[in-house]
Amino acid sequence: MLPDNGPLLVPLDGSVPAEKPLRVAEAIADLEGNDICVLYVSSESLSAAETAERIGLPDEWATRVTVISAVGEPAESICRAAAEISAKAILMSTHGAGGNLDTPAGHVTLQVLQDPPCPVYVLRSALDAGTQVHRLRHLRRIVVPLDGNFESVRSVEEASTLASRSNARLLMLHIVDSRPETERAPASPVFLDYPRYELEAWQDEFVRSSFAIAGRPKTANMVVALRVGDPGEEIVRYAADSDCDLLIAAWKGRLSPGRARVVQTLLEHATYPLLFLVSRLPDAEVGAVSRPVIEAADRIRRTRRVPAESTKVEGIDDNPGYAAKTQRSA
Amino acid sequence: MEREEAAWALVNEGFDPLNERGAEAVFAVANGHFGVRAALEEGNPASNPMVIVAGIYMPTNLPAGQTLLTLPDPSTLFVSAGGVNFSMSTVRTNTHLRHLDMRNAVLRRSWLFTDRHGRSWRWQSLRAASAVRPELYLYQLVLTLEEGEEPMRVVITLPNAVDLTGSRLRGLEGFAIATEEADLVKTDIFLQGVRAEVEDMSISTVARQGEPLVLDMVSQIVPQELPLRREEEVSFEKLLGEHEQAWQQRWDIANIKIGGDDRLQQAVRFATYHLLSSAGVNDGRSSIGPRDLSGIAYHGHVFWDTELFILPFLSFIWPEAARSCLLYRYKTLDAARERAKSFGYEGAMYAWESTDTGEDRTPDFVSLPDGSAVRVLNGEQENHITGAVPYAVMHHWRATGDDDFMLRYGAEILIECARFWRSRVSPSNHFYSIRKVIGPDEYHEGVDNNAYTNALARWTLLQAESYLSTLRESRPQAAQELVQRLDIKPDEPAAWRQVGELVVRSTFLKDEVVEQFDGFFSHQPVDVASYLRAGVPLDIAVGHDSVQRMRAVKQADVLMALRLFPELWTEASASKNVAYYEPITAHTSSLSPPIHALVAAWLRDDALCRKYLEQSMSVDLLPPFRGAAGGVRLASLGAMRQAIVFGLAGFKFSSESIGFDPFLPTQIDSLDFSLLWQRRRIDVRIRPGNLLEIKVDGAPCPVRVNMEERTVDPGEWQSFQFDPAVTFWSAIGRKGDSDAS
Repeated sequence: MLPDNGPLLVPLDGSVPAEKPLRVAEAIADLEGNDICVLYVSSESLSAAETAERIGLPDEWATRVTVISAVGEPAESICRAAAEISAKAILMSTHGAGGNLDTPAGHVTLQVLQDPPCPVYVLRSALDAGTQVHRLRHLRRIVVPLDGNFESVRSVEEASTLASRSNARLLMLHIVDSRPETERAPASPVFLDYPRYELEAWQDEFVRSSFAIAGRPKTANMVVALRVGDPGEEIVRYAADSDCDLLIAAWKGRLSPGRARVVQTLLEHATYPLLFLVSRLPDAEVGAVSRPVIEAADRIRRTRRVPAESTKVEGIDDNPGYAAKTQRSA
Repeated sequence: MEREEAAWALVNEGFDPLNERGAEAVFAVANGHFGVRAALEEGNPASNPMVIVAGIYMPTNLPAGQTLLTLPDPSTLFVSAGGVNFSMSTVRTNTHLRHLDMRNAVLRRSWLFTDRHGRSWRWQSLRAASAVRPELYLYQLVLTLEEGEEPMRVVITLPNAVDLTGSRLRGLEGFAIATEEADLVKTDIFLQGVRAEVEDMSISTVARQGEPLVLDMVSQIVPQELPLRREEEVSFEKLLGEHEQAWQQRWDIANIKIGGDDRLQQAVRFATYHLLSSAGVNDGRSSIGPRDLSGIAYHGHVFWDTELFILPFLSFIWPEAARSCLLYRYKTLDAARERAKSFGYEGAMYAWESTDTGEDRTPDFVSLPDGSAVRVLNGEQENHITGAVPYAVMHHWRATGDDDFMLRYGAEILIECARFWRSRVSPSNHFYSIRKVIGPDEYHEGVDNNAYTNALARWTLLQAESYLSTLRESRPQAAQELVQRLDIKPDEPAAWRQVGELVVRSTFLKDEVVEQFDGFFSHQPVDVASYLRAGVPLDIAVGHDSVQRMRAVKQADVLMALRLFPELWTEASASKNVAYYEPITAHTSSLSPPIHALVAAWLRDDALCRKYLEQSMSVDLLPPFRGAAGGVRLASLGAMRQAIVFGLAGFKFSSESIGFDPFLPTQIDSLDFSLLWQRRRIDVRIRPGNLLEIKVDGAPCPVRVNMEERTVDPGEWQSFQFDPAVTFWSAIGRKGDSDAS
């Protein structure tokens, strides 16, 4: 789950009418059951009235949201504010004021995405807000790309919770990277002695490994899909083909050259809201076994701010007994 | 000595939730009757615990239709102290280790942890599937409070116990709880030497620092008969001891020692461990599925894997278990006859996927992860299984000399399969074709004249005629009884021979590349290597339809014909075909690498042999084990053993003699193994300096090593000098192209 009941933080810079992002924010907040906190970052200290004016906050929203301001560099201020208010999530658009529309996202959004204290919803600036609000309010299909790495565990748990809450179908997608010389993802099948049983077994193991830490899925309305090709392109294609309403992706938060091609492709092409969950485990710990992994799992839990005492780990409920059957694509 | 011991052990340190289910299969214990996955007893979201029972199939809504019976793991235990259950997520793990002692087939787990009150605990458990009493599962937990001065109340809960019947075994070392679930699992639990209280499904006692709590559990899994008499006082130690002794006896014949390559040594031990674990003597009640009893991925369905990849091991090491598997084919022969009839053929047509009755359980359609539905043609077209079964029959008979089996069961299987092939062929320009089949290369469906299938068909037809002819000479009365029993018409045997000799593309003596099936050479070329580099299964990458048009091979197909029938080849033709097919083989099947290692050894291709030995070792054994989650790939493990014995040692045999043409690739400097042949025990040592030593126990044994033939008398080791450059073909004078030069 996303962190408890902190507010949804919506940084606004006045570049677009506030109505548009706020309607999206309201749809997300309704989905998650949280308040909305609007943040304006400037180079000088402002009063509440001045902040509201800079943002262009419509009167009817004034009582429905909390407005705060911060002074400083935008991305850093956003992350700091999110941490201070224990935000459940941040909602950003790809481009704000002065954003270079030739790049997948503006530098503020990219900076926030690299080390946020909580999950980040991102909407492409070019998209129609009404359509996105409709998607979020009528969430029917949530796509989760999974590569079998440790980081991806977070996204599937969140997606499972949202799917359960909204009666949406969870579309768990694995891309077999067919590009030469690329490293095989841990979840990709290797041998297909008899494909019909291997693929059935692969799907079963894919679900089990995806929920190996989170515990049993919160929904049985799941589909496992396997595609082959360039991961970024295939995710975008699959999400479009399946009329995705929300795509949830985990990533390591590294935007250095040659990395995060999938994230950049999504920022450039997604026609649906994106939810990024950043999980930055040291490389040495990823894929390791034993204590480091257990501790890493604990750390992931801690980042979700779920007190250890309140996690459901104390007894027979730990017994997997998980028997949810994956549903095949029609 | 330390290295030798290490090769007997398989160790997994730590706990990796993402790959836990693969580890559960790799470390499973089994005894041919049931298998228990190595799941954490205390439960974990990452676990998939189960007991898998051989030979009992249950209906399922999945396309498989039937799946092996699975039961809750009776060793699932919830242990709590101070009101907190011990689990990976409620305590701080200091060390966690699984240790599979393959020599004794005992899995041990050691878990040291600190609870939230700062007390340190040591959890040590062991489990074994009794090799002596196949219904018994043995489990022991030793729990010790290592640091913590205050005595702690410990509660052990048994979630899979449904009926507490009291302490009927009171009077042993502690007390007992008998539990049962629908008569499928009966468990006796003993808590040794301590006072305890029993309430519902829980045992409550007090742990004191340094005083181990010892819980012994003996479960009867689907007992056929009650193996433990109520009045029989059998201690856990005795049950464990007899189990370990039985395994040591198995290893006495099954062990392979490989000098110079510790990894391969361990891999072969691992393969042998699972092969022995999967088998049992059960009068044909069940056979062995591709994922043995460590996982349920193939639902326990029985394929050709058993006959061609597993039985060649069992017949030489544990003939009684091999006989059971073949009796399973005899018991399902009527279903095979019905199946042949339903397709308009004669004789017996074995099911591609067989369960308890022998009816075909191959699903008609399968849904692919891309959402498409694909018609499954294997049940109808992978007819080569009807060659694999008689191949295993004859292999077993020649290996064991078990005339009783052959006369009562094997001959009937052989002849009914020959009848099938005779009706399956189509006349074609004075020859016979076999149309619309799928060979081991399952990329291509509905092909005509698959070389492997044709070779097996030819072989079955000729063997049936030859067997009957020989039987008429050696045991006319028995032959007459067989003829009457099977209503063999006077002209049938000659027809088998006539058809067999005229099956097209069924011999490989022309020193040319064999076309895998009609039209294969004109298929679209594809850069298989690029897909191999990307680690992508070719059929997944390009799709089911596209791969059918490609000149690419899923697994050894033509080369599988080379593996089975080297005598039908010349060295030149073998070499040319390996050179052609190896680069276009995608090895999407785990059966493929070990067979390539085997034929590469036959051709003395050191690099190729080494490459495929490496790949064979990595199929299941190397962490993180993820691919093994649905069970270990038993047929691949069997093929790896074949690569060592038949490939590296160059072992060949008939009913009359055995032969060796050894070749040890780089890094391997010695090879020791044993086998049973025609009621003799044969011990073989291959040593540096091209020395092969052999010892025979039983009757004198005709042995060929390269071109030297000698009868080895029982008793002393006898030595042969061999030349690693001499292949089987050069030894028998069939080199092909080079013969002329």
